[in-house]
Amino acid sequence: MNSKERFLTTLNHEEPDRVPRDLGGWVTTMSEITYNRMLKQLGIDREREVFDWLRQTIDPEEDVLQRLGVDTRYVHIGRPKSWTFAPKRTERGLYVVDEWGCGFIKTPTTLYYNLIDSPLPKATIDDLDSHAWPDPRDPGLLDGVAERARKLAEEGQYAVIGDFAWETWYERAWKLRGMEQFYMDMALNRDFIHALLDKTLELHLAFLDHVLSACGQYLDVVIQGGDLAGQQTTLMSPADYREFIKPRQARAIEFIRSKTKAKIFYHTCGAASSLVPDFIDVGIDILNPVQVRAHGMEAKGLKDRFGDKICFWGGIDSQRVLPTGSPADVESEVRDLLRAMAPGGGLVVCSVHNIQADVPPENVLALYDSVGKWGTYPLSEGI
Amino acid sequence: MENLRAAIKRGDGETVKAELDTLLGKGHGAGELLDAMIASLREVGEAFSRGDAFIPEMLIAARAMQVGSNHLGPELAKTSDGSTQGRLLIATVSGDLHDVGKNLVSLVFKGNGFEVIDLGVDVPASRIVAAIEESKPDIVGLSALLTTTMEAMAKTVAEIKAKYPDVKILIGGAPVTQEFADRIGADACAPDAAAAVDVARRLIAA
Repeated sequence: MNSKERFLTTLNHEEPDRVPRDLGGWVTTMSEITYNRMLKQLGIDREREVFDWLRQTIDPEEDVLQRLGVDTRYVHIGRPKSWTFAPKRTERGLYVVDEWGCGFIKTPTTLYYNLIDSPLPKATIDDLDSHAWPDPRDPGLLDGVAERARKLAEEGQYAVIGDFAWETWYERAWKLRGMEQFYMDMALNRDFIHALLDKTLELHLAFLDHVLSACGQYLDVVIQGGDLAGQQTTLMSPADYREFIKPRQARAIEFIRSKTKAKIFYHTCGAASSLVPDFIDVGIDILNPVQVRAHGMEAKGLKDRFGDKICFWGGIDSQRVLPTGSPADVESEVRDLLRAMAPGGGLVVCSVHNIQADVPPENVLALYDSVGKWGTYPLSEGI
Repeated sequence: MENLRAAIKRGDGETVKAELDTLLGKGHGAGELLDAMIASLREVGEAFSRGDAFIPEMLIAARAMQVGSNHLGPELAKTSDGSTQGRLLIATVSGDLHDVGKNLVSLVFKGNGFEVIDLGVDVPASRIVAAIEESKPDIVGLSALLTTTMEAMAKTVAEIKAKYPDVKILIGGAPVTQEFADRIGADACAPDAAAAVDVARRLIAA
């Protein structure tokens, strides 16, 4: 069984030969700092540059993916032609305005770029027409996309993942408005939030049309997302989720299904267990990152309640175990996750969110090697 | 009074101001009105802690509360027994630019009658220590969202305690636990903004 077969079997809720591993996507990759430390640890004499400027993460290289036993390979969008990442030096740090008009800063003390300026804090519905929106059909976004996807699909070795969250229509909306204002509007200025989400979704669908027309037939999974929960609860009430978000998720998914047979991966951090039935209802196939230390997100409970209807992708605690635990703790975390979620398939393992700069490289290796050691089906009784 | 309470809960600042004027005109004392608003906000905070209210409801109630207490004016913004609740100095620690959680905590403290000095985000320990010297807070609140800035939080607590061993430090943020608070020598940790107010009251009374 090769990686692709293994992966597709598990997404089909069946047990393959072993539990698949992932690394390299939008929210399933690694900080540049940790990656380069890991290269050193592995005796590889080179350095990798940042791939995602916002998160300061890397696109892992083929030899590393093979060493870690990673079963996925990513198709990333190209750089837009109409906008170039060119941060300016300011008193506070490196500052950049992205193609949406959102301002981000990386200060000398921070590890990545953070949103500090939102272009639409006081905008009305009418103002939305005059904002300078980016072109969702920018030709640069397709650079290399069809070629890479076709090559991966023809080789047939690995699961082909379309990394097409495009910062998500949901998170983009609050970045444009400012997070606090956005959430207050959700209570007091609901029509505006509907109009703003309509706009960001419209652009997102045009973007999906653009990229999926180029490569939809080659993909096994399409990445989507948008954070809906915090450590303790969802950010908004379930009723607000069902009014503002769920119908738009359904539209996006329906559109993706019209362009590709790929499974749909949805990323939301946090304590999102109350929304999982809705996710299943709108047709989400895979939930990521399974933030196991958030309230109500214990792996066994999720598997028991939803495991026959949705797959889980992630699950290794990045808030405590990966940054502060020992390699033995990481191995124990992997075993706990496998025991809870691997039976019957439906599990892809990686860190809960990108592996941050405070994670020792030996813990990264322990994560991947422990899945290799313990993740063989049938699962051992002593796991 | 019911209208005032309801207006706080639905985040309706204009009605809060109008109701305050009406009630003051009827002879209600400012302290009594402030107590009523605090009680309303506390109800929203308790619902938030239980998972029955969410970020939008908590934010708008805290904002309306702030509108109401500003409307009463600083001289009147005292509870019926004439006390203020205390002074909170708050910051997101060095290396962390996340401010939504910290701002929500600030708003809820203000809403509960605290004086709040907000130093902003990515604040180095030295600036927090200097601000303690200057403003003599009853309590210092430190926020971090990132695991990578938890060490900055530990360092900040150590620097504060080295100079001001008696100042009470309350920490919060997604990755922060009581175990972590104990390890770094913070006085307490709170899981959310509403709970933080109760913890702060306990620390001040202790």
